[in-house]
Amino acid sequence: MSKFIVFKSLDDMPDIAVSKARMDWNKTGSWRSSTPRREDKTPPCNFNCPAGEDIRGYLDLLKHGKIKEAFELILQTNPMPLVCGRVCYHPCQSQCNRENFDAAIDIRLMEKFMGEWGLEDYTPPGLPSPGSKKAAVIGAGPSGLSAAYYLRREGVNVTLFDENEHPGGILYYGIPSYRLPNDLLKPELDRILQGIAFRSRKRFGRDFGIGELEKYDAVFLGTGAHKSKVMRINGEDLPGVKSGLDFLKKVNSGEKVFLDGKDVIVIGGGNTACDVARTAYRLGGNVSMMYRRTVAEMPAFAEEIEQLKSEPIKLEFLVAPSRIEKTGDGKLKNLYIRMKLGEPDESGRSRPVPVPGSEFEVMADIVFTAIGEDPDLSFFDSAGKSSGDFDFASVDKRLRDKLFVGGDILPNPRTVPHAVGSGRLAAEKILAFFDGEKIEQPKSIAVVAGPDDINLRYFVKVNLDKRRKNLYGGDGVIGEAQAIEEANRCFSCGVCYSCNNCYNFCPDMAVIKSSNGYQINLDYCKGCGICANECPCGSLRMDEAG
Amino acid sequence: MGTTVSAMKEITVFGRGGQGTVVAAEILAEAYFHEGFYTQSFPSFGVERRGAPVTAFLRVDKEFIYLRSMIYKAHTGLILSPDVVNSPTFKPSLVGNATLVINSGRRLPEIPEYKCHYVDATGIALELGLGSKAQPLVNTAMLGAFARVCGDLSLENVLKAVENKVPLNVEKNVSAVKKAYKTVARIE
Amino acid sequence: MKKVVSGNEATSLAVKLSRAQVISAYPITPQTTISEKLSEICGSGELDARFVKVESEHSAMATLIGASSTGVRTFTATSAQGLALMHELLFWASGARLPIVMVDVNRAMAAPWTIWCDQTDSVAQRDTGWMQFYCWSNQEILDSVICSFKIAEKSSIPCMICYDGFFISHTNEPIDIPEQKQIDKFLPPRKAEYFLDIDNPQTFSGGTLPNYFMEIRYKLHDAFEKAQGVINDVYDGYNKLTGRSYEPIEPYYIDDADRVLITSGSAASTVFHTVNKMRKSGEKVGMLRIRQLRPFPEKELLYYIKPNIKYGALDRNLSPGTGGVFSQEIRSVLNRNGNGNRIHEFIAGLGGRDITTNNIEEIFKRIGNVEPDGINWVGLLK
Repeated sequence: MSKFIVFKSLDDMPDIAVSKARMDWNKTGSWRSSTPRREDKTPPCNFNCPAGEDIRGYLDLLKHGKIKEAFELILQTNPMPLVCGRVCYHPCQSQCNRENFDAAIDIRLMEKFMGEWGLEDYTPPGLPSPGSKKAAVIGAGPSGLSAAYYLRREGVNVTLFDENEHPGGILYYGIPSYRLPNDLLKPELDRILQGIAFRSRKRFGRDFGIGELEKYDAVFLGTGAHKSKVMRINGEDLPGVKSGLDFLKKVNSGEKVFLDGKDVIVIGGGNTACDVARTAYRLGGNVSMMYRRTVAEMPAFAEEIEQLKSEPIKLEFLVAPSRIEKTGDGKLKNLYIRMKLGEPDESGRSRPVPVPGSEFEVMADIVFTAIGEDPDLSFFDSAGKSSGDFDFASVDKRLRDKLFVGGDILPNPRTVPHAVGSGRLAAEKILAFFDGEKIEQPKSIAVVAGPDDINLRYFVKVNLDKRRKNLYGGDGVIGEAQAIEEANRCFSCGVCYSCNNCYNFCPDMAVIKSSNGYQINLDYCKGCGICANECPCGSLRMDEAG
Repeated sequence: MGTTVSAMKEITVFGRGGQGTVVAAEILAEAYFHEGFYTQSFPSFGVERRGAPVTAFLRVDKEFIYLRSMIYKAHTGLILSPDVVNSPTFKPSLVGNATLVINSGRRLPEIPEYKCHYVDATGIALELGLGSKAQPLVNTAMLGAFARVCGDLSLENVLKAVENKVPLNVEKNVSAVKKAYKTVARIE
Repeated sequence: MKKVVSGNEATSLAVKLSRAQVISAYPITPQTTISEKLSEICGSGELDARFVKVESEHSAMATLIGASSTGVRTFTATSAQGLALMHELLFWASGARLPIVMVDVNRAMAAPWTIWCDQTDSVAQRDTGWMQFYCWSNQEILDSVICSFKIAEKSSIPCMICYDGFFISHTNEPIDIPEQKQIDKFLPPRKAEYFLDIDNPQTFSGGTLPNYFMEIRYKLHDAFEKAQGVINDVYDGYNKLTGRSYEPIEPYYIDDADRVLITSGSAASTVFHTVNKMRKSGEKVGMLRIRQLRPFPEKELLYYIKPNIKYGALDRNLSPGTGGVFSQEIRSVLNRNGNGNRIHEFIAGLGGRDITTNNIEEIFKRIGNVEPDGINWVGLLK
C-alpha cells in the first residue's frame, strides 16, 4: 500500500526520483470514468452477404497466407465459392467501406481465386459416418445442394432428389456456360456431393410421392421457381412464343438450337431475360430486348446489364407487348404499345402506364418470354402459395411437421447466394429439429461498421493504376501473391484483427494479450480512451460508466 | 617531441565530381600508411556535385600530423582533369616548383614552371573499361603514375591500398595502376 | 590493429566495440556517415543492436531515454540544429541519470545556413547535465566513445563526445583499433541499478514535490563533482589495456613557457603543430588543451596556471555579447579562486573558417606584446 516516505538524510535518498517498492498497489483503475469495451461490429461485406459468408474473416486469414484456413472458413457458410465467385452479384463489394477511400476490395475476385484454389489444391477432410437420421432433399439446385452439404457434414444420411439428369439445377441448366462453364461447375458439385446419395430424374409428385418420404426424418424442399409467368396477352401460346428459361435449359442440356439469321425478341428485364438475349445472340439470332420500364428499373444485376449493353443487342425500353399474331409466311407480328412511368408501385419502382395511341408493330421469328418465374408447387394437392411465405398449413400432415423449405420457393430475392444461405439455414433448423429444438429466425441486431468507424490514418491509399495492372493485367486470373496483396487492403471493419495498437499504446499497460484477444485490466485502466481512439477498425468503444 | 615540420609533404588532388578524386586521396593515404608514414587525408569540405571541380588533400609525414588546417601550397599535385590548370585558383594552390602528375596524352603549355609528368589515364581507363565512356574512372591509373614519380612510395603499397579500398573491378584497377606506372613520362 | 579511418568511422567502430544495444539517430551533416554506418551494421547483424528509425532528433533522444530506462546501452549522434532540437530531453536524460552516450559532430548553428564547423552547438548545451568531452584526433574519438560508456554507466551521467565537423569527422588518419575481446573485458554489459521492468513495476522520475526536488538536483551536481575521479579511473584502466590515456587538461611545452594558449578541439592540434614550429625558432610558447567542458577541470586548470606566464584562450564558439564559452569558464575559475591572472580571449574559426599556423603565430605575438583587452576576433575583415 502507499506509504508516505520521509527521508531523513541525503544518503537515505535514491539518486533519482524512483518509487522505493513496486507500484502495483496503485490501482489507477479507480480513477476511471469511462471504460473501453471490445465490441466487434458487423463488417458491411458480411452484413450484405446473402449466403452469410464471413468475408472479413477469410480475407484476414488470406492476408496472413492461411489459404486453406480461409477456404475452410468460406465452406462453413457457402459450399460453392467457385460458383459464387462467378455468378454472385456481390453486394459485399458494393458496400465495401474502402470504396470511398481508394477502391473497394475486389471480393468477387478474391472469392473466385479461393474457389479455383479449392478445386486445385484442397482435399476435404473425411466425412463423419452417416448416423441414424435420414433426410431427403428435393431439388439439387443451390439451396438443395447447400442443405444437403451441411446436413451431410454433420453426419446425417442424405438422399438428394432431382428431376434432371445432372445436379446443379439453375446452375447447370439455367445459367449460360459463358458465365459458368459446366466443366468448372462439375468438380465443385462433386466436392459438395461427397457422401450424398443423388437420385437423378426423380421428380417429386411425378416419380415419387409423399408416401416414399415417410422413411425420412426430415424433408427439405428446394424445387426453385421454374414456371414462367404468363403475359396474359393474345397469341402468347402461339408455337413461336416460348419460355426463355426452357430455352436456356435446352441449350445448357446440350441440345442443338439454331437461331442463325432469325429475328428474336426477348421480353423482360431481369437476369433470365439478359441471359436469354445474350445466349440467343451467341446462337446467331438478331436479338431485340423489350422491357416495359427503363434501364434504371431493370431487375437484372448491374454488371449483367453492363455486359448486355456491350453486345450488339437492340434494347427497347418503355414498351409492352399487347398482342402477337401469326402471319402467312410463318412470322410473328408483335404489337407493342409505348409506356411512360407513373406513380411507384408496391415494389417501389415507377409503374409503367400505356401511352394511348402509341401502338407499333415488330416482326419476329421467335419470341422468348422472360418476365419472371413462379415456384411450381403443383405436387401438393392444395398448392402452397406462389408468393409470400410458404403455406405449411396446406401441406399434407404426414409431411408437414418434418418439412423445411428454401431457395426460390421462399419470398427472397432469387439469387444463388440467397438460395445457398436459405439451404444452410434450413440444414441448421433440421439439425436442431433432430435434437428436439427449434431455431427461431434471429432478429437482426447487427451494428454495421460504417466508414466513420474506421481510423483512416492507419491505412495507406493504393496506387490505383498499379493495382489495376496487378489484379486485372492477366485475364482476371490472379495468383496467391496478388490475392494476398489485395486481401491486405481490407479495413477489417469493426472487427479486431490483432494489430496490437491498443496493447502498444496503453500508457498503463492495462491491455493484456490473451488467447481470446485483448483483455482490459480494469485494475489499472484509467479510461483515457487511447486504445479506442487508436483502434484502426472501430472494434473498441468507450462506455461512459466506470 | 621532435618536430619535422619541413619533412611534411602536402599533396592536392585536382579533379571533377565523379572521377574518384576523394577516393584517390584516401587510397594514397593508405598506401603511404603501408609504407610506414603517418597520413592525413580530407576532402574539400562541403557539398560535392558531379562534374563540379573537386579537390582532395593529403599530408604525409614520418610523425603524427597535428596540423589540421587546410592545404594552401601543395608540393605535389595530381591532376585528374587537365582543364583545371586554367582555373585562377590553380597556380596559387601550389608551391613554385611543384611536382605534377597530369592526366593528359600531350604536354600542357600553360604550366612550364612545374615538374610535369604526363600519363594518359583516360586512355588507360577507357581501354580497361573503368567507369563509362563519358565518365572514365581515372583515379587508380593516376596513382600508378604517382607511385613512379614520387620517389617515396613503392608500387606494391599502392597496389595493396587499391586492393583494400576499391569496391569494384579490383583486377582492372590493379592493371590500370601497373600500366600507368610503366607509361608515365617526364616532359619538360 | 592499425587502420586509416575517418573521424566518423572511428565513432562507428567504437560503438560497435562497445556493443551498444539500442541506437537511434536522425541524419544531419556532418554526422550522417555515423548513422549510415551504424544502421548498416545493425541491419547486417554485425552489431547485435536495434537501430530505431525516427523522424527527428527529438524522437531519437526520446527513444534512447525509453530504451536506456530499461537498462540497456544506448547511443546516438547528431550535429547543430539536431542537437538543439534535443535540448529539452537532454535535461530529462541527465535528471533521470541515464547513461546515454552521444556524439556531437560540431557544426555551427544557423542562421545563416551553414554546414561547417564550430562548437557553438555543443557549448550551448553545457547546462543540461551532460558530461562533455572534446577530441582532437580520430584515435581520441575511438578511445573516448568506448570510455564514455563506462564513465556514463559508473557515474549515471550521460556523456557527449564532441569533435569538429569535417576538420576531424571527414579526415582520414591512422588509428589503433583494440580487439573486441579486450573491450568486452574492459566494458562488460551495463548493469543498471534501476530499470523499467513490467514484472516489477516502479515509477521513475514522476512528480516530485518541492520538498525533495532540490535534493535530487544536489545529487546530480554531487555526481559531477565526483565524476572526475570516475573519469580518471576509467582512463587508468584503459591505459593498462591500450597504453593510451587522456587528461582533462593536457599540457604541452609549458614548463619554461612565457606564453600559453588554452584551447580545445581540432584547433588544439594545429596549435600543437605551431608550438613545435615556434619552438624551433626559439620562442617559448606552450599550450593547454582542455578536453572537458563538463565537468570543467577546475583543479587541473588552477594547477597549470602560474604567475608570470601570459595566457590566451582560443574559442571556436561564441556566446554573443559575452564571448567564447571556454574563456568564460576559465575566467570564472580564476576569479572564484582569487587567481590574479588575466587572459587574452580569442574567437576564431566560426562557421568553418580555417584556423592556420599563421593565425596562431599572430595570437602568440599578441599575447606577448599587449595587455589583455577584451575579445579579439581572429582573421575578421577589417
